[in-house]
Amino acid sequence: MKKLLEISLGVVTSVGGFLEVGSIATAAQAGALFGFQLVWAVVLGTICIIFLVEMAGRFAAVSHHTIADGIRERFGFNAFIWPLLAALFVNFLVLSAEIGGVAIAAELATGIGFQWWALPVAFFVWLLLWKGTFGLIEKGMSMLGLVTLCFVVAAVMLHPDWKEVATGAVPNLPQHDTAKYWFMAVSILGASISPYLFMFYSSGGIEDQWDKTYIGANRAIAGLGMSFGGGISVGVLIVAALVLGAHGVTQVDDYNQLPLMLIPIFGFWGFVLFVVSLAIACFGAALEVALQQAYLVAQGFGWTWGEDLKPRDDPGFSLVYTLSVFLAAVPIALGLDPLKLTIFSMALTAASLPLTVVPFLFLLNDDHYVGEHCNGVISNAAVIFIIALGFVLALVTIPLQIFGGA
Amino acid sequence: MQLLRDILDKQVVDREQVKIGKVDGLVAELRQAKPPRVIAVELGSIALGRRLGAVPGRWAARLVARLSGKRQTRPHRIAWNKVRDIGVDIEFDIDVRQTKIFAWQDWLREHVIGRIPGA
Amino acid sequence: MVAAFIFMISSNCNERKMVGSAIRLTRAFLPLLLLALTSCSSSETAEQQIKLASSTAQAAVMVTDAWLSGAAPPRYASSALQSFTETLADAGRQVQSVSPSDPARREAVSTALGRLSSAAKRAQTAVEAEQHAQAGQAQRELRTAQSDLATAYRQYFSPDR
Repeated sequence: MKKLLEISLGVVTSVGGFLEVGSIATAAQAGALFGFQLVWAVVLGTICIIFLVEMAGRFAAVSHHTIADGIRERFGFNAFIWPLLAALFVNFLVLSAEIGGVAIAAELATGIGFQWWALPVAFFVWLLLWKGTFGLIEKGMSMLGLVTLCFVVAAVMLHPDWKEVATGAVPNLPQHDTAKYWFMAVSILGASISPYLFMFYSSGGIEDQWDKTYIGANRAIAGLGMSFGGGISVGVLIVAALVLGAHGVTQVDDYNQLPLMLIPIFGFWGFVLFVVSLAIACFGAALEVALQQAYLVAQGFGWTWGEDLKPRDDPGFSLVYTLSVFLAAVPIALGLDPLKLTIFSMALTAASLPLTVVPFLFLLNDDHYVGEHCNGVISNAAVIFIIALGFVLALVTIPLQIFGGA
Repeated sequence: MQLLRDILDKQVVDREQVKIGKVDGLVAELRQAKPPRVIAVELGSIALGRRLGAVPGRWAARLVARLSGKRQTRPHRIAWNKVRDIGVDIEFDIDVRQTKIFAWQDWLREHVIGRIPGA
Repeated sequence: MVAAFIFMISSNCNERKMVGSAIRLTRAFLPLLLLALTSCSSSETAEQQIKLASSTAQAAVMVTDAWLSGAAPPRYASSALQSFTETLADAGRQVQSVSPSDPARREAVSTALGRLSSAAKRAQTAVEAEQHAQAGQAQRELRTAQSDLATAYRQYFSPDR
């Protein structure tokens, strides 16, 4: 009974925490320009993240190591430094984009330019990290994140042609704007398969003191939580296709276009729902990414860490998230367009995947760490597929950025 | 036991289970006609810098010297005979508060983090 | 074009058996990249700008609609319209800077873009002054200029030029 409660809480947490500025922006752009054609990218990204999150959780539960601990210990510091630097850099961009997302929501609500909101938003993120506990951040923010389900409600209310949606779930070739199509596919994959997500999840397993008895719960949370979360992304894509695309708004390059998604469906409340969804989803993600930066550094160097500790008991850890949050606010405060930054950082996330995913192949097959809970054939096939996908993405991202991103 | 695989880069904790760092380096003693023996583990940025190469090692040493205001700096060492347990972490029979390993964290707590309300 | 790109990279790798991959890849890449960049003709830029303008104009119509029905707060509506006006004006400038094969047809596109941006501007002013009638008028103007743009666009890219 207790386990069941924990599973449902975990699923709710994953669902509420799934959507962030990257998944909203990429799904909206893709839906507006290509209709349901890119649903497959969301589905593929979701399947990949399910596997990675399940493995990260299982690794934490069985070995009592986070993924960052595992990479350093198994491959040594000289190898660890590359995924460390890559993840720190990509996370910095993503954190900046999330702060930008909240700032845009604030601008839409008040009319005061987003750059003025960057530092106040950073301050609130920092304050919650400073005073809050892991449970509050993980569970509390994610519960609020359930407001993003309004996209699913909107999608259902629009009565999409489900057969056409299903057709889009199968990879297909574009009829127009080829470069843009592939660039968007890459960005969607980057938004779905975020390294911060599975690394954070493994740290969460340690914070919540998981052990071997959580293997089943972990599987359920990863599978159900991420699937439902992916469902919300598909919801955003459907709404963008049937509202923006159908009205001829095909190029979503301006964040002012985004609230138009929900207004024709819910009227004024659609505007409110959009702003609240964007603010909460991005705020929650900003908390997680900032925390992940601190986890990564503290775990990589073996410092004392834990969000439940008082800042004075883990000063190094607290310093990292403090610096991360305020540094990430700088580009937004200087007026860098959050939407452009988001799309750019999602593509870069996709390109950085090989560095963070290759270690999974070794860690999850090392009985030194996971004993009898090694990867099965299917999980290994999935990791190899994700690594291959990651390499392709890393190769095509830059040319696509030039042709499709501009 | 394979030293490099099983010891290097492992989490180090003291007898109170406080996380104090990773095994950033190993110090071995070469003996005549006998296999070398590990006598200590090293922790800290100088040891890490040396792992990346001679030049980063010198940089790290210079940086640490500059920050701590000392002329000469060495990595922190913990004698191998203090090992108590090797599991998920390596536990040493020491109290981190009696070492200089946390000097920078103490400084940080006193001068930065501790001064922010709510810490 | 991009599909060809990916294909060429992979075939390149197979032939050289991944030796010195990084440097060779860049070497193989650069001429291709330059070739592709230069082959992006000015008509492609114009086409992109027209598509962007058309989409932005539709968004302006939607925002005005939302404001007229009370679904969009005035502050949001006016700042969105301001941003759309700038995008439209910018698209006009971009098209102007393209060296056309047929100046008359470019002029038609340019005129339509100018009308769109000034209509969006008027919608913004009307929203700020809370004048529903003017906003409705600006919206109709947006729609007609939009269809003018569509016609001009078809002529601009008609095969007989």
